[in-house]
Amino acid sequence: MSARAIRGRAGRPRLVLAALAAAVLVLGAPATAWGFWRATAPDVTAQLSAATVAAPSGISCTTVGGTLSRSAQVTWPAVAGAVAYRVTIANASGTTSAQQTVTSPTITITQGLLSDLLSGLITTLLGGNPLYVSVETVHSSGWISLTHTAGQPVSQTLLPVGVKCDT
Amino acid sequence: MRHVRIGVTVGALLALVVGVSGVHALWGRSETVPAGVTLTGDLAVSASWLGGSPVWAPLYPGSTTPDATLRVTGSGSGSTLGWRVQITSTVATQFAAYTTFQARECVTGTVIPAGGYPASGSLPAGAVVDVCVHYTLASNAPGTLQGQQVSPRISVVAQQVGG
Repeated sequence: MSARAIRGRAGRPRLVLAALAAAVLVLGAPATAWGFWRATAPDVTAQLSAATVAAPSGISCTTVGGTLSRSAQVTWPAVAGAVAYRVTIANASGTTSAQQTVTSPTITITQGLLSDLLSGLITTLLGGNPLYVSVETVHSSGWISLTHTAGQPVSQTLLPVGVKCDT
Repeated sequence: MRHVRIGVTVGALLALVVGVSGVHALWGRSETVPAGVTLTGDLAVSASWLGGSPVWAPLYPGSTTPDATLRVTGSGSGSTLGWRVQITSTVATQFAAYTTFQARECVTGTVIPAGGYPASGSLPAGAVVDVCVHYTLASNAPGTLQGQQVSPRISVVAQQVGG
């Protein structure tokens, strides 16, 4: 086979490619010329954020009751938009805890309530250790505050029996 | 039979060549008629808040911002220029799945279609379109989004549709 024949075979694909490229150029040029214009304005921005559900701003506690029993009445300021409050009662380390949802900004902590919520809570209390009461807000949108009020300590009282506020 | 096939093939090729030539002729003719103005003219669009940037209250799940008006003005040389306005919006990544954006032409209330407004026909050069926009936060938006910036960003495009 001569060198010229080899060149001829090798050149054939190039010829085909060149022809294809020419065809694309010829047919593509008018299409480009027909392309419609497009103008873009500088982006417009605005300030917008997701709301924040606030936790009650403070918490207070009053020991109530008579000569037979005592209980700790924990209250806090109402929060706008709140439909409920989630109260958490826990031991100091937080390893034992229970939650109670109330619709008014107050809850009365009694030994009976603690027993009903979680046996570990009453055990902690009767063991002489304090419990801590904290509150989160449940908003009408369904969101719950990401923060909660600082825990209000309550502890056991023996005479009369019950629960009292620790200042 | 072979001649017939050859004839059909040649005919098809001729038809193709004539068709392509027709396209070229149409394109070439557009340079000589007034449409040539658009070939040397321009198209621009501007957008800004009407009455200043909106002051939107923070969104709770399921709530929607009040409408804010975006004034869009298209300009370009050539009295035959036609265009449509396209509006899209992006928000911060964490809000993308929980935020919806709506843009409507303020006078008619027509939602701006993805293909642009008006859906048929076009706006003339210099047309002003007031677009009412708002955002809605989905009712299932997670509470972890509380307090975060939605960072809305609106893109306005003028798409030429005639000229």
